[in-house]
Amino acid sequence: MKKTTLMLTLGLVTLISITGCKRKPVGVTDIPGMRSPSATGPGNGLENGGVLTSPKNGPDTITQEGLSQVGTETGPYAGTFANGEPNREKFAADTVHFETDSAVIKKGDLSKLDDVANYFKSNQSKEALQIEGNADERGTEQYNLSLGDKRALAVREYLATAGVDAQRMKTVSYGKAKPIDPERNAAAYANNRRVEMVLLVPK
Amino acid sequence: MTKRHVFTIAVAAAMLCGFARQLEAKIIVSKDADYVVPVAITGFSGEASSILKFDLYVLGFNIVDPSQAEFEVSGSGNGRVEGRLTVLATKENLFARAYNGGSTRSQAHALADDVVKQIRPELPPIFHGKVAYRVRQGGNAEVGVADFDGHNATIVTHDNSLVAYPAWLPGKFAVLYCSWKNSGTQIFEHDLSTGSRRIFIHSPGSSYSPAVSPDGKKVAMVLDRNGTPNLYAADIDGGNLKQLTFGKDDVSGPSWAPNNQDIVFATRSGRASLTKVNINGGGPQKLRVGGAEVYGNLTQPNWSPDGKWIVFTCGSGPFSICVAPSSGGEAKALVSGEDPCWAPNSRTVIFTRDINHKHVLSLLDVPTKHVKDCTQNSGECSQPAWAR
Repeated sequence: MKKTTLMLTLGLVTLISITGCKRKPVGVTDIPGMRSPSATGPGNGLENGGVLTSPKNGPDTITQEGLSQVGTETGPYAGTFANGEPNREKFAADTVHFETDSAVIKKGDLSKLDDVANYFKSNQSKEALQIEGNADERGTEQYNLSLGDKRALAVREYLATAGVDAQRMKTVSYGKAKPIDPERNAAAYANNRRVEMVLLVPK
Repeated sequence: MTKRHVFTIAVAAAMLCGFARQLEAKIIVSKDADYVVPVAITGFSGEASSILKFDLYVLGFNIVDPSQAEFEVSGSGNGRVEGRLTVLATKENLFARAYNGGSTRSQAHALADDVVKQIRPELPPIFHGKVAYRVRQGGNAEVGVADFDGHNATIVTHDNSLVAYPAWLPGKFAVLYCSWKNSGTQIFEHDLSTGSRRIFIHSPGSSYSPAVSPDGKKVAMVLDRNGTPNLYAADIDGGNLKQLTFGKDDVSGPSWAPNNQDIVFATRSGRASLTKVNINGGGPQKLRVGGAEVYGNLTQPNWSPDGKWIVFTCGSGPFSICVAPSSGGEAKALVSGEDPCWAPNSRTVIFTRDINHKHVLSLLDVPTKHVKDCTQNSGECSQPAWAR
């Protein structure tokens, strides 16, 4: 024990004299390990791994909040949603526009939506509809994503009420990420506050 | 002498050294949060010098001539970074240290962390922080990861679509984000170490704006499965989904309190405002914030890690970064910008700044309003999230 203590003391004295505790750069601080992030790429994305909850495929009900979304990964139009060819021209003239901060469909636009509804009601094909909500740039991105979502859902609800099968419609919001008019004036903002409807044609 | 003895001696020496240094550093200066500390940086050149100046300015210091400074950081950055912190009035050394390993950049950040620790000991170090963000390139957007100052940037998704709203899993090198890759909006969980990812939650309709609780156990997000966007929370494995709001008003941008129970988010009926909800029930409660500087829609709240503050965006373009007590009350507008997110020190905020209609990431010291732009990478960067 004595020998150990002696050596320890000696060792301490030696170490301190070698490294020094004062007035010189002494503390040697190791740098936290740096990691480089890995990117996804073809073949290494486990896209369909880990199904965590089941899509809700219950009956299409009008809830207190509105029409429930239905899973579009199953059902009669699943193939169209997965691989359908988008036709943006078909309903280009039926794009509906909104007031600032509003997801209320204007009365003047209802006849456009009635035309779209009639197209699907008289059409027994596997064609389906993608409803795209957009906002102008005067809201923050998260806020506009939600606002665009609400606009798309309002159109979807109107079409469902008009008789279009809810399983045949899918909504998506782009927020302010896809303006149609890049200018920064009232007219451009009005053009960008819109819902576009895209016909999906099965391959 | 056995290996064990050598080890014991080394540990004892290190402890003694540490003790000696603590005695030496008995003057720990803690200033009022909004006091701008004048500091001189001498002896460094090139990268080490610019990093020290950048980091200390971001933390509320002013870089001045030694004749006007209270403290001096002297040293060199050639080969390895060595630095000494001195109180100029008394010529007292608070520490002197050399740094091993990593790059010059990393060593200089470590020295800056040590300077801050000495002068503002209440603040946890942030200069090795990572940030995830959205980067727009043409009509597409992907998620990138970089150092907090914009260096060492890597794009981590290649969806050729829109990708947005990255959120870190606490303590892990992994993020959640939204991708429009499959035409709808889905939340993905992406392991940045391996590059593997999976769909976090399968929900009919769109899912977006994920936020992970500080303990890493829960995820808040917006789902529109009931026909209107509402706030939900799920366990980190995607199970135990619970709806938290039931209104017709749209909701956006959730952020967790450090108690892992309360969530603040933006909701709109009329103009957008901030609302809190507890995941155990009780329903949403409006967060009352006011003040002459706060106007328009209040969105994108972010709760500070120490629980005291909520930073958010107000306005309708141009936007302002505002801060309010988390219990509500007087809010102050700080600078122009949007997408604010706290650093782990509850003092620094990273946000998006609009420079000539181009989005860049920028750093804000809330008490002093110091602003420094991050190094600009290609594409427009926004939606920063600081890893915690």
